[in-house]
Amino acid sequence: MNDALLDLNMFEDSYEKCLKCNACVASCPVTGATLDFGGPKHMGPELKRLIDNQQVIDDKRIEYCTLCGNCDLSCPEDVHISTLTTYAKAIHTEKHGSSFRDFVLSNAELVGKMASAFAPVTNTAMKMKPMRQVMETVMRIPKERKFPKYKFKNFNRSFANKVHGSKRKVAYFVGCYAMYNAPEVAESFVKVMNFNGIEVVKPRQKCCGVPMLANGRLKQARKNAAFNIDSLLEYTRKGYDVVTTCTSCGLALKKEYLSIDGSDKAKELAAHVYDADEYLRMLKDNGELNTHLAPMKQKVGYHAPCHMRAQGMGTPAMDILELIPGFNIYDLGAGCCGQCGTFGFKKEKYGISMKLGRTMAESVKNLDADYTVTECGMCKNQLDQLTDKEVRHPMQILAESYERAKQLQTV
Amino acid sequence: MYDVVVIGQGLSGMLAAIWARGEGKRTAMIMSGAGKIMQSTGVLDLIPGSRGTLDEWMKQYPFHSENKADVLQAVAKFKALTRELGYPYNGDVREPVPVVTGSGHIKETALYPDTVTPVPDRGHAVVVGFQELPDFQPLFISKNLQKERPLMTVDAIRIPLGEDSQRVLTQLDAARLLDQKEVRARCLRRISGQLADKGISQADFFVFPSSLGNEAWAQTLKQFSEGLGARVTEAPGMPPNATAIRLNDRLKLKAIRSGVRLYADTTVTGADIEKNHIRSVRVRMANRATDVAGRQFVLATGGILGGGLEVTPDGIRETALHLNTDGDGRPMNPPDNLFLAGASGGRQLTRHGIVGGVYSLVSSYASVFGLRKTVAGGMAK
Ligand SMILES: Cc1cc2nc3c(=O)[nH]c(=O)nc-3n(C[C@H](O)[C@H](O)[C@H](O)COP(=O)(O)OP(=O)(O)OC[C@H]3O[C@@H](n4cnc5c(N)ncnc54)[C@H](O)[C@@H]3O)c2cc1C
Repeated sequence: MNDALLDLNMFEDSYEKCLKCNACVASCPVTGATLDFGGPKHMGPELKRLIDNQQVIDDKRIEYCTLCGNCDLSCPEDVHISTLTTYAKAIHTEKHGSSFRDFVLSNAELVGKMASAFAPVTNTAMKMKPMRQVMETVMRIPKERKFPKYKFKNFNRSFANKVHGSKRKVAYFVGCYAMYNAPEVAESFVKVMNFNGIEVVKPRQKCCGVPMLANGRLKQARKNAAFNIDSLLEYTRKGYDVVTTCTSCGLALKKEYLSIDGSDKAKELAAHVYDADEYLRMLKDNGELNTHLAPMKQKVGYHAPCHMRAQGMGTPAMDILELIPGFNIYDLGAGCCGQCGTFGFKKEKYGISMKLGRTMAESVKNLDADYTVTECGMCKNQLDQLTDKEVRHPMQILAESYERAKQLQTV
Repeated sequence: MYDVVVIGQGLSGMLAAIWARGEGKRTAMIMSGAGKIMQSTGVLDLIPGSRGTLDEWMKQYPFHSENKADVLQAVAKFKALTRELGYPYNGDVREPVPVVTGSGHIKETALYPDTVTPVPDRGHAVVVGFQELPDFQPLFISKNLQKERPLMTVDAIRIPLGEDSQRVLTQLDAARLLDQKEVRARCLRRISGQLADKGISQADFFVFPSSLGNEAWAQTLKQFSEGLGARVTEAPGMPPNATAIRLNDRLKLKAIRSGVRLYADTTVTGADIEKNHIRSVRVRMANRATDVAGRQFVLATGGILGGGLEVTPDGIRETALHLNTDGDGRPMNPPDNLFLAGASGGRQLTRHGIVGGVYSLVSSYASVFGLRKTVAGGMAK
């Protein structure tokens, strides 16, 4: 066994508590959609039991795990199932290497930088049939799959730190999606904070690592985690709160870094991280929130991303949006969207992705709201592919309501 | 700030949350993981492990003995909910019925879904297993059933579901396969073939694993009972039982869609209690803790089995709120805005190991609506 694999035979003994009750199996979206996956119980605690202090086992079936974390939410015994499957993925990639496609897909940040630099070209190219045919043949990326657009004027280009010494200070972990694909989300977030008199800075940051973990690139994810932890702690130690608008980044900073990095610094950071809506809800509970929101008479469907639900914080997006007068928001209760980050971009997973997505699409159709709201850019990608409703981030709606209120005031 | 904070996501917690939300309360549900309903059989017993009657149940469980009408009202409310959820429950708590389990033994239960049919005393029964499903052994089951029902003729057959799989199938996997019409038709053909081979001309009762369809349970039930010209039943045993998962998933979805806020994969590790009144509970997630404030709280943490009570050398410890408990784990002098639902009420409720679904539903109902005006409790009143 080479050192790299030995390193992956990590210390994690929560598997010993597994009673094989199958709650995780019954809750796993992918297990429900295909018999090709080994299922979370087998690929998590059982596999770990087989390899603990033994030769590592490389099991290809782990490729079907999306790291959505629904297994963790269901486990009555607090077995860290998704941590175990994260390692099973790392073992698989370590033994087999990444395909070029998976390497590219898991490099959201690098791709974001490049695609954004050539944005008009990239976006047009991604719509060209011959181009997509080549991508399908060479990279096994299905030609029917929509991709998020890239913006030339990304958030990196448009945003400059301005420090004016507010009481609360926010260090914004932007994430690749709001940075390169949806700077309008990042800009809305900054506006919302400014409406609350809170200054926002953008610390140096790298991709949170979630796409890397999902593709078994544990070592690279660890490097990114270490970078982000150090960079963000510089701010939290000066009294900043770290806030995310992407629920996968949020989950990484709050939870995943504790298992893949596990240092005291990771623990220290986790205690200071908030999801954007969670942060606003906290402000509200403390009587600090600007509730000067203009009415928006709308019926809206909310899609809860798996990585939002995994943060164990209720549904702060709905709590906050419900403060807008006239705003009616309903939880679609659709479960997993099926995009699952990079998973849904892979040819051999596309069928499963669509099967999962159809349940969500149906609930969108049944509710028949004015539009859909979700925090996750990848869930949005799937919603864009499978429904004809517009999809917005909670921060965009809030920013609009605040702005309208301001206009009403000045009129 | 919530109106109602429910701790626990078992049958008790989900019912309390759904009903509180139905009363217009802003409701949160906080849980470490799924409740035992996911491991259960999905049928709701009066006194598990015993053939007790409603009168005995009323004596054994801490409700006032005159409350029978209220108990029936709680049961009616539960049945109405299951109808609304598209998975109706039948039965009468005054007349428990015999059902067959996944080991072929017979137990009495009070409330059961359409996919479960009470076992007759006589006639010809056939136990049908699926080759790919190790958790349901038809021969073993048929022999146990034969012992329990000496006047019955019991046969066993085994058919392949015939789908390739990269994992060992569970009853839920089989149920999902049977959601497909073609798979059902194929199964029916194979059953007929086996019956013909064994020279069984007319059987009137078919016992299946807890797998008669997941989403399409109604179609499966219809196609099988019509195709076989007989009554069919699921015999729940090893989890996951589709009988239970259907109820669990529907209750959870109902809670979510009606706006209950879920704090999943978290643990309640304490409470801010002042003058015997809970202001907030401390909720832990990974390395973070937040306070969740509320007006009313429901403790539905499942007792010893569910993790809400822990047996220590010094007695029984209440794990979520750190309440003082008596020798059986029942909280003593609980806070005035706390309601106990399900197995969290101490060991005297779980003398037979589990509390039983009927107590879970009645105590959840009581925590939301109150049983009698003279009885303390009932946040809706
Ligand atoms: C194998 C099995 C078979 C069964 N079969 C039957 C049957 O045939 N008929 C029948 O009537 N009943 C059956 N039951 C019993 C039934 O399903 C439940 O056990 C019973 O209804 C009790 O439910 P509950 O909601 O009170 O608790 P549980 O279902 O145990 O739920 C407890 C909940 O509390 C949460 N929790 C605990 N502590 C904390 C904390 N500190 N912070 C946050 N959350 C916490 C847990 O995560 C869980 O969500 C069976 C149970 C099992 C295990």
